[in-house]
Amino acid sequence: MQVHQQPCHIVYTDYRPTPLQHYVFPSGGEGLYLVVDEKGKFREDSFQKALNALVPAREGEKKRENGKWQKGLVAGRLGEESDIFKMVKMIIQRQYDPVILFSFSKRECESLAMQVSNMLPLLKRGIGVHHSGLLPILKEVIEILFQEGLIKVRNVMCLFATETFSIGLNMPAKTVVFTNVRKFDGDKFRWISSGEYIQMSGRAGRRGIDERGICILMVDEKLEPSTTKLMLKGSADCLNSAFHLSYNMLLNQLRCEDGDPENLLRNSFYQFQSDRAIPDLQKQVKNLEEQRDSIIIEEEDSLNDYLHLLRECKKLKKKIRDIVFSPKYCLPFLQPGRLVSIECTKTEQTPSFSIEDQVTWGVIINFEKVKHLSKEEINQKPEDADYIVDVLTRYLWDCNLDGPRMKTLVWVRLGQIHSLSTARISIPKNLLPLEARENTMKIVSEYPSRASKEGFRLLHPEDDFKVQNSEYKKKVRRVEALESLFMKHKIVKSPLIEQKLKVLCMKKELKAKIKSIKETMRTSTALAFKDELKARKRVLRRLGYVTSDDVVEMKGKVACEITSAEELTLTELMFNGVIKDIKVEEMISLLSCFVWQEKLVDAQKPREELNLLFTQLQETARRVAKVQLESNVPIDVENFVNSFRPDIMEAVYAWSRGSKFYEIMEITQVFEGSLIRAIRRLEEVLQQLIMAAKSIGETDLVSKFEEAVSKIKRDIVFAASLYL
Amino acid sequence: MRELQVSLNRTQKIRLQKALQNLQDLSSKPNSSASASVTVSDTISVNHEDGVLKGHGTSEHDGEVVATLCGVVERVNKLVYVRALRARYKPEIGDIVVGRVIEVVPKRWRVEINFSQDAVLMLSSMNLPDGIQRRRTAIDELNMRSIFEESDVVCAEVRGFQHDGSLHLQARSQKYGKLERGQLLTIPPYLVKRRKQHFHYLEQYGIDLIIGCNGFIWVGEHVEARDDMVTEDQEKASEQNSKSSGRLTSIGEGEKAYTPLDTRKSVCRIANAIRVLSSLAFNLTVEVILETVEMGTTLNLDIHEMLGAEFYVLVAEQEVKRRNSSGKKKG
Repeated sequence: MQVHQQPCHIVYTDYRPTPLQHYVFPSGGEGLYLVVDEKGKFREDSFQKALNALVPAREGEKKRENGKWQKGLVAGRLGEESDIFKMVKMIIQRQYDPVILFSFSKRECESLAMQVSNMLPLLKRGIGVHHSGLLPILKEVIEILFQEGLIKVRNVMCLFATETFSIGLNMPAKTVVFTNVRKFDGDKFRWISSGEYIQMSGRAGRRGIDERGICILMVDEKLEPSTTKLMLKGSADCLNSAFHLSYNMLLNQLRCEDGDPENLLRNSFYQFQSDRAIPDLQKQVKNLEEQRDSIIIEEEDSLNDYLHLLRECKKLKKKIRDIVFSPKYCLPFLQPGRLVSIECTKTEQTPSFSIEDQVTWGVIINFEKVKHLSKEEINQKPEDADYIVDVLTRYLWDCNLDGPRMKTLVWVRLGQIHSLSTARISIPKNLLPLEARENTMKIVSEYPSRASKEGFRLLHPEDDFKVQNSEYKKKVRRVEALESLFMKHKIVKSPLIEQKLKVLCMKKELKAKIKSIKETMRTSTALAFKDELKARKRVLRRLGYVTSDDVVEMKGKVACEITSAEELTLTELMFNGVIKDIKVEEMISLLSCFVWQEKLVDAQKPREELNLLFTQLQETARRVAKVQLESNVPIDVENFVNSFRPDIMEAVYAWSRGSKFYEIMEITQVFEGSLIRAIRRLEEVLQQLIMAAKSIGETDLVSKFEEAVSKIKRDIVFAASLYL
Repeated sequence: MRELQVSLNRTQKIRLQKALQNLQDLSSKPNSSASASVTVSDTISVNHEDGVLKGHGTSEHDGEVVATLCGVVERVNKLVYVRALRARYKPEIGDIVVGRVIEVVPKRWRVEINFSQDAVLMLSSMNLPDGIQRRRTAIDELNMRSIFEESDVVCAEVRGFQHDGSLHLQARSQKYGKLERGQLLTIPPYLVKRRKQHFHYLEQYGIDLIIGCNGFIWVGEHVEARDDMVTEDQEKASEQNSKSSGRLTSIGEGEKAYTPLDTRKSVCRIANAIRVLSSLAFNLTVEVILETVEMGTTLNLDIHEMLGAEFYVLVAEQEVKRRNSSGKKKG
């Protein structure tokens, strides 16, 4: 390999010089369980043991209702030591220090550290906290202290950190603890990915000092061995291009002579990646097409017709049942002991082709409302809520029924009930012993044969449930018509109809697959972003940033300068004179909306005059978003408008008026570090605006921005870094 | 306003006056409604209630916005500025300029680009002859004269203003750099309209035409520009054979190579066309230049005859025709 015509050597090992051991620590349990040893072997047995040691799930559920995800960790039960405390104690005893404890939220990270220090006043000194919300200078102090080995609990080094500590800093420890196995990634809690796990566990084991590194996973809910394996032993995350177009990039390209945005796109890593996938896709299409052509069916047309009818009919029946078995009608009949038949079409892959639905009989044990976490849903009327019915039945289908609990007891949603019988049987009080259940099931299984003898029948929608719904009646008539069509269909008599239909379905699936792959191929052979590029250019022309022959205009020149904020909205605000009219402090406060991205749940609204400015900003943003939408840029207008957050307007306003930092921290609940980062970025935007104002020759505005810079650029917010 | 250096006979004078009169009529029509022209200290009417952004060429005086330049008032939303009609060149980022090296100083060249100050072309914002991206060493600095010398004509792009107010250029692609074997023409910069393309390769003549935004225009023999993005691999291969730097060989070849007479004639023809157009103060675009050159050849005019009185008049009349038709298209 040669770099700059100089030989270049890469020295690497394909193994970890300091091997890792992965342990699991079940919440509420005692002790660690070795799950993956130094040789990288996954120990199934000890993993199962660890799961068995978990405090029963019910308890965890109760806590979840309180809205606490941290569960046992933070909410340490009275009189009992919290898990995190036990963990630290164990690490001290076993001398697994120094240790980094990762948690996935800044608040949790702080409260965990608080807990340890509160419980053990002796340890008060020597516990480090590290996350992005800290004052940057404090963060650097902690990094340096940890590197120098000065963060110590007695003799133990102990650092609580978020993921920020896992990337870009060379600070390994002997042990790494994961206080959780799920993290919030913006819209949901998910398992940590194998890439993230590698990155964080990679901090364990210092080369040349430790013989092995130790990873401890604190688990508080059931894990599938497969997910765990994926997490612990998976490969690093793929490197995928996150390239996207921005107006600023486009304008800067347009104003250079040889700047050709298309050329830029063509040479991007994104394009490379999508090009590389094409041969693979082509092969797939070829294979699938061969498969499709190899399937030959007689009388395909009429079969097709038949299948269509069948599906239509099923759909209608399902709709009818949805009406009949809505809680409003059927709740009074869900007494324990009622015999019930449950639908058991298994999955989409193996649809049934008979007109009759496949059902199985069971007996109702109990039913309950599904509990929801948010308050809104609790306020719903009882009729609208979701119900779950506990049914004792013979068979289990893992796909369609939610989570089996006892061997033959299943939870069923109302929609899965096929019909209810008039018959009820008495059930033993205690169903736990297997025998009792077996007996009950025996009675149930005899039911279909007894039904005709003893005159049991199904509960009738109109007679028993008193369904008086015009929708219902219409659908029933439609079903009747369809069924008669069925009977007349010529294909119905042909033998082996089921197999034929199955094959037909397979063929259809293949066709759909080919179509979707071809679609992805079409989009990736074309220049990536080509359509978007066109659309975005259209936006620029419409808003008057460039002329029709792509020469950058006055507005475009302003937008060229702004790289740290949403360029179009800010430029529009400027050209509408909004920025010019208002006071310097108000302007700073307004600009803070451009740099603040975190979402505060219950942030207070800014005062009247600031709020007025914010609405002006929102209007401008909406206008810009609408123009984009009209020009076919894929954009969600409301999302775009809401991406400007007014949360720190007050704080920044106070800061620009000369308040002390601790004073503004009382105004807002955001973390110090986040606020400092926002203000630093604000200064960056102001510098860019100075350049922009210079380029249009508006000297008043230049001096206004300069004044703004001098107002915010002071004290701790702009303290120099400790690193040289 | 147009002072021609040529002597016209009576008919030519009348024809020229008529053509110019026509042009004036054409241009004044849209102007009267769209934008008002102002002279220095004229008041620009604005609505003071909603904020006004005062751009270039404006100032506030006794609560009124006044013009500080002669020109045309332009408005973009709330921004008001005056676009000067005849002004010195004012660089903007991304402009293509042609200039002349006037001094070689440590790590940089000073380039005259028709602006109120000299521009600076740093050694570090220049692609090195060997085409490798690397730190510039002291040896590179000593070899600067092998790249550009004093009084060389160079072509570069405006990179931007530094904080100390100096203007920086950059030449990061193979098509920028030293210009040889051609003519440099100086015209008033306001005649050059900013467009997407300022580099033109006129294939039929084998000529490169660079219309610098600063009013310096280069007409020279075509040089095969190598785009390092596309041909990097080929270049490497060829470089490994010769093991000599690209720029140096091209100079060496240049001394040996001979510019064909036809090319030289074309250079002169195009240069003369530009001279005629600029002294008539017509906007210069590559289309107009080519049209003028073609008119010269179809009339079987010699190169020197293109500077004669008759050709001036013809060009002016041609311009009237062209604007008439484009006006109709718009209408």
